[in-house]
Amino acid sequence: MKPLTDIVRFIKGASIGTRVAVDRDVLQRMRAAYDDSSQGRMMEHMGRRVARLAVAAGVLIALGAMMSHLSQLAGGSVAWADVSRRFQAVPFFSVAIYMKQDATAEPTQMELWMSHEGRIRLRRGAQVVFAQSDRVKAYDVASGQPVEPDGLAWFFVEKIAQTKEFSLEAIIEVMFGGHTTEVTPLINPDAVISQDVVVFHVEPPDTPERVRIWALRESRLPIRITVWDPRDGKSTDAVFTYFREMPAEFFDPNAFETSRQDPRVDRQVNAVFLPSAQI
Amino acid sequence: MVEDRVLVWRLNRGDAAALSRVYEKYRDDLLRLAGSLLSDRSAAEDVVQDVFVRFAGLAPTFRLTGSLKGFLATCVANTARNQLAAGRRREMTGLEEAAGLASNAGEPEGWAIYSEQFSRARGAMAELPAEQREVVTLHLYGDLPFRQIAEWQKTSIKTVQSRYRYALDKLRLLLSSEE
Repeated sequence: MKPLTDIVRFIKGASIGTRVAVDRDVLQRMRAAYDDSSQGRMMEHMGRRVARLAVAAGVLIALGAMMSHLSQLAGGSVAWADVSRRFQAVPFFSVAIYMKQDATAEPTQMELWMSHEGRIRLRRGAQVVFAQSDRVKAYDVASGQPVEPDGLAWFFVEKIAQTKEFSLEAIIEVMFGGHTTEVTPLINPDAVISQDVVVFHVEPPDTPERVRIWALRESRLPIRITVWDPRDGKSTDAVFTYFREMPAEFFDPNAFETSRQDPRVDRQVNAVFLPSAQI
Repeated sequence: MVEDRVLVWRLNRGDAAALSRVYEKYRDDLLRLAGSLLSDRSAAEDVVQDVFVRFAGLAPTFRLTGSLKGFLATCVANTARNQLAAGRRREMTGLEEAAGLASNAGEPEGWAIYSEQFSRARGAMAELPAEQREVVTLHLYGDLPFRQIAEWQKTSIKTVQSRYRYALDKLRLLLSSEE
């Protein structure tokens, strides 16, 4: 008799196909329902601004609720509130975000820099995206020409920009939605490492995904956030770096555009990482 | 989850192209779920189409609070339950003959193309009591955790876990005996 794991594998692995003509028909009906939706029409007429305000309001409400919840629940010698407060005080950080679609997939990566004033610069693929408040501009690194921002870059940039504050909660909200019911500081079982590192664990309620946050015990600064889905190994990893504050022009799309039009600037690596005055 | 949040966010912003990705991403699992819950293939396909179209209508203002797949799977399971209840009502009012005639008229070329493996799995699952079949399909095709299935079935998580265990034991017997 087959072991139970084989039965599960058999059922999950039972594939199904579909007829293309019906797919087309269903998609057309979906599109019609989407277009006909009165809310959809209203959203189109009212434009992006209202949608952005709604997102911002949602994020701020979630942040407020989460912050008070985290402060109450976190325990141990380094409280979550300490980490959050300390992070809020740093003038500048960058974060490398790696996303894997499943356990064996190669990660896609983006890099994000954020100033104390909430100005954002993001590199995803061949795009550099700039954002401040609700103004978002994207450029192709090679040509320096303006382009439509990549969808995922849009998502990250706009949600963070709308929070209008330099906060750890903004990053966490973007990564897992802020629906937090439990946070437990988990001291790393390795006694030596736990002298330096403190680990926080977050468990969102409606998904088996796990969120873990590593912070330095001495400085109280977060250094890594991971979201992991045990069902398929899908994961998002954010690695934080702190260094000297970049000049304002690093976050200025006009400065970037001007520098890329300069024929003497031919190194993409400089275009991605350096303020235009230093290229 | 990040991709689903992006998709919902795009739909909220009026980007209809995100519908295609939602459809491609979850179509097969929802068809397998509905196909396992309902014995009538065309009814199962109608359920999935209905759920996708209704979701598209909600999409401009849809707020994602958990897993998108879980939401869609629960919608499919709810609609399938309603279909089954309607079928039972039809039987009680003596209309089963008409329904039988309709189903015996030969299956028109539908939407889903079942693999042999899925047909076997589906056939075995048809032998399970409805509650056990719901638990297995929602867990394996809908990726719903037992806690959510327990809420949906309005029972305890232990009961759901027992149903899952009994169901797998029976499926093991049924599928092993076919070989």
